[in-house]
Amino acid sequence: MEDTNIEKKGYAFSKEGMNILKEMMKDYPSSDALLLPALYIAQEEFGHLDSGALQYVADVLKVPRSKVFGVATYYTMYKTKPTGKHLVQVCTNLSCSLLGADHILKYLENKLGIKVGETTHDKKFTLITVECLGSCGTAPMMQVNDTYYENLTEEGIDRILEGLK
Amino acid sequence: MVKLTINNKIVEAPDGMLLTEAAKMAGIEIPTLCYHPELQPYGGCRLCLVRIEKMPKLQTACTTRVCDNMVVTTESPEIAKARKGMLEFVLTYHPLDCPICDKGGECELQNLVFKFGSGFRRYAEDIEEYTIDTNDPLIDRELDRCVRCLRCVRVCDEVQGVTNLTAYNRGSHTEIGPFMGGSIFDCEYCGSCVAICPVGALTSKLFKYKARPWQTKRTDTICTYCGCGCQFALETRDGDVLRVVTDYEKGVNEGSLCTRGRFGYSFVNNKKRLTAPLIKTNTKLEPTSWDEATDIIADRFKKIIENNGPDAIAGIITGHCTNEDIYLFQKFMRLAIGTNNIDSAARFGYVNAMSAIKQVIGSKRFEASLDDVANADVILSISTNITEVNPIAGLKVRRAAKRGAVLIVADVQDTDIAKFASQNLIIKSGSERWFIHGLVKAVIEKGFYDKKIYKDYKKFIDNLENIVKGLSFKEIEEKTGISEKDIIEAAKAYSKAKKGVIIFGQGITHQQDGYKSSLNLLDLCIITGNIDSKGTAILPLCDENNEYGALEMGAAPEFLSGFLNAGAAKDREIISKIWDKKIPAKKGLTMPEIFNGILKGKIKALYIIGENPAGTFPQKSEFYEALQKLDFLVCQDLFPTATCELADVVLPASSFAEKDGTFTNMEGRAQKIEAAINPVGDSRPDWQIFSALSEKMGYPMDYDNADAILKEIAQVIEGCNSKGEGSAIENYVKTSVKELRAIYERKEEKAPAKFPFKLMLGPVLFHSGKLSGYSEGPVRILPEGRLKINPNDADRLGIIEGDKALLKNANGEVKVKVEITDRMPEGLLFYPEHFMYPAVRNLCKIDIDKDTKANYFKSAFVAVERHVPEH
Repeated sequence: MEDTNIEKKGYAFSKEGMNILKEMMKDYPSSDALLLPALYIAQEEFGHLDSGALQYVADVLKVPRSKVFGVATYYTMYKTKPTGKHLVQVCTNLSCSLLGADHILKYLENKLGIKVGETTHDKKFTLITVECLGSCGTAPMMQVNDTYYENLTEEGIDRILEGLK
Repeated sequence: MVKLTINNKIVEAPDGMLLTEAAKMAGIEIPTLCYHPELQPYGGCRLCLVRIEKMPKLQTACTTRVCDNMVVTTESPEIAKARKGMLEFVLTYHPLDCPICDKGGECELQNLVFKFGSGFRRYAEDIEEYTIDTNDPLIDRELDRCVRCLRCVRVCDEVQGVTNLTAYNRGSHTEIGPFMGGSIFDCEYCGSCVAICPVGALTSKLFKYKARPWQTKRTDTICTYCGCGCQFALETRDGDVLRVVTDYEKGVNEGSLCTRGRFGYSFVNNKKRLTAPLIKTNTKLEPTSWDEATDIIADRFKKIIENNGPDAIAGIITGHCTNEDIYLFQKFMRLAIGTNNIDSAARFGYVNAMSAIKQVIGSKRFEASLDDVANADVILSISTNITEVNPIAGLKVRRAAKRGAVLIVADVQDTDIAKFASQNLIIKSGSERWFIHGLVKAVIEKGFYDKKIYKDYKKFIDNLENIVKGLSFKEIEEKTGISEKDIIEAAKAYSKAKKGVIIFGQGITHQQDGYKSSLNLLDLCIITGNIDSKGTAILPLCDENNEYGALEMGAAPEFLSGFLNAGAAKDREIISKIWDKKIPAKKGLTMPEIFNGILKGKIKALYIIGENPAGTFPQKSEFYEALQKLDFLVCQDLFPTATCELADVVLPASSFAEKDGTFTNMEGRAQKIEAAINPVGDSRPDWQIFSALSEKMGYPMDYDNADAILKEIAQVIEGCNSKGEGSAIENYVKTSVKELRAIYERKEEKAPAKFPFKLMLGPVLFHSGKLSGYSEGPVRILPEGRLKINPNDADRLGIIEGDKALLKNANGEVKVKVEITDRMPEGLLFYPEHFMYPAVRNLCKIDIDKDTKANYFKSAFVAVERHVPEH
């Protein structure tokens, strides 16, 4: 793992990030296998995974950059576009849909004034749909950044968004 | 072997074989789409579903390995229904636009639907719509046709090792493309993805809308670009070469090709081709008949022989001609003219390697197999950017490395193959000999040499030890930039190899002391025992497809056919007997000697076949001058080159697509080529031209076809092999002891203070010689040359990407566009040798190897500054 030369392009892991990665390296069989955690660190440090960040991860792990790109776009939890301060992720899988995820989504779109995939002008909220988050028992649900909000209702959403401002 | 039952038939198959393959062996066809015999099992399309007893649900045959007592059913109503269902799934997104799709007629999906499923789609929801991406210079991408079999992605990664393509996004939104989903593939353009696509999702722009596959004629032949000698088939219609296709089971390339092979074919039908003989009247070249043109040549040649003797005529032939062409050419020169003044493009450097090898292995035929490269356990790749020069040989190296072979790469720049290397040694340009001697030193001083060999060749090794003693690792590190530790590590790995392979390229053969360096590498093979045993190899790369053949056929003053020594009366006698005419005894001239001869007025006439010295030699050189001084110049070529403009007579030759014959690749493998189309215009295969000329010269050499010449070649070469000798290597080891010290001399080159940069000219992936420049594909990818420069150098000079740089030295100055890349070390510049303009070659001077008279002009010292455009 070499991190020379790449810093110039504006992307470099912090010392802590690099240390975490190096530590993890010991437990992983190959650098390919380290791709997911490396992408997480990159996302945390660079905000989202744009081409520079992906190229950086590819260079650090010596994995072909197209592979990194393929993996990063496969998982919905990697952000390849810049997002607002709060990333609102609405589950639209089976259980949530049966209990009104569609309606929840429409309500959020109206309330935030954006469509799915968009970010509000003040860069506070980004609204996306995601696959099952394993919270079917408390559907419909959404995740904002790292927090689960369950058994959603219109009033509940009002309260939650109010609290996030 | 295991025994299983497929459709009530007992089938025997090797343990672990895939069920699809085992069934195929037994004559049972299981439909597949994502499966490809060259690729790892994937199981993406689910079309190969079969019923296996005692297993739940239907199973995919392309991912299931056979085992004993397996009972399989491949045809049943249940399976037919499943197949039909899977096909309907595949068709969910697939537009039924077969009539306008380029793949129609050879589309695997079309065939499957015809056979197993309805072309009807029940799915009525919205489907993702993609726009056709036509931005790439060669490859059109139509993702709505894509069936997500990922064959393109897998071949790019598993077979080519490029990993440029990927599948991005997820599920039904999956798309195929390069990094960030870009429009431009920006890769090696090997075209494997296009070739392997089962549908019309990836198509070649060059073939698009030209023909339906059933309208073309397919002719198996051999590529005419580099020394790998890849097999492919030309698909033609009405005299036009429309595309190149391969069969993954055939040839050294096993179906893989590089961009030149796959997309570089259209020079054959280029409108600029010479189509009639031309003669110079006053100052202009005018078309004439073959009869008149050959009459003039024969008359002039006869007059010159009468007045100045046969040695006033000389001939130079390209390494792109067939063995038959070259054989007949040298026979024509030696017998019809009566001179040994014959040379070929191999004189530009390949002759260095071959002379050294012949020196060591003696009369034995040199053979090295690319399979040995692929199966090696240690590969030492020296001074070659193999991926760009000989891409398929590079592929074999990649495969070996991926399989776990130790790959040691030593070159002056960071090359692509180094990505797979265990040791990537970037040596300073010009220090190659220090590096090689360092390896020899390490092997001897650390005792890595083969102990059995030490017993046999004690004196030789002791002598070597004495010689390398004077060279310290400190000096080596100073000169090469490689530490003692690294050199010892490399030497150790190579010495311990069971199947050690050395590959070396232009950085050795086309540079100072190329012959000696080649011998040094051979010494390294000898002392480590990596020369004679099975699986070991030493392989000099050659960039023209038949340079080996040029030397073996005897298109060199020092070699007769079969590498016999033209200077030895005994050897001349062998061939004279078969030819029934005496070969002239007078020593012939090599290429540089020929040009010197012209300057001195000794050579009056030159016959050039397929070479273009006026367009490729540095203009300040005497050789360039010499061309103007000739009394009589005959050019035989595909295209009107700069040299043709100086010629008195120009003869149109046929390309490889229009003739029969054989090419010998760098492995020493002679392979048959076959005419796919009739000669373009009034052109003729080269051998027919020599045959016609020889008749007019009064020494008829009449052959019915190329095969008849091949028969004679076989007779002559068999004659050569009959002379038999003891162990040639032993002989070399004994006789070289005296000269050993001279072989290990090193000459340092120093950059003059005024010209601190070293400029290297060399081959690039997308072009080779002049043919690629007449082909649409390579020109589309790389229309112009760029000077590669290190970012720090560029910074210092204030040069940014897209700028032009001004290169200067005593020979002149030239402006070139730059490409800034950290693959180049500081102080070194690289420019593709292919491009005639801007004439960067003019900065170089021609150097001549003392031992082999090889003439090379691949480097120069220059000053660089940013070119400020005038407004």
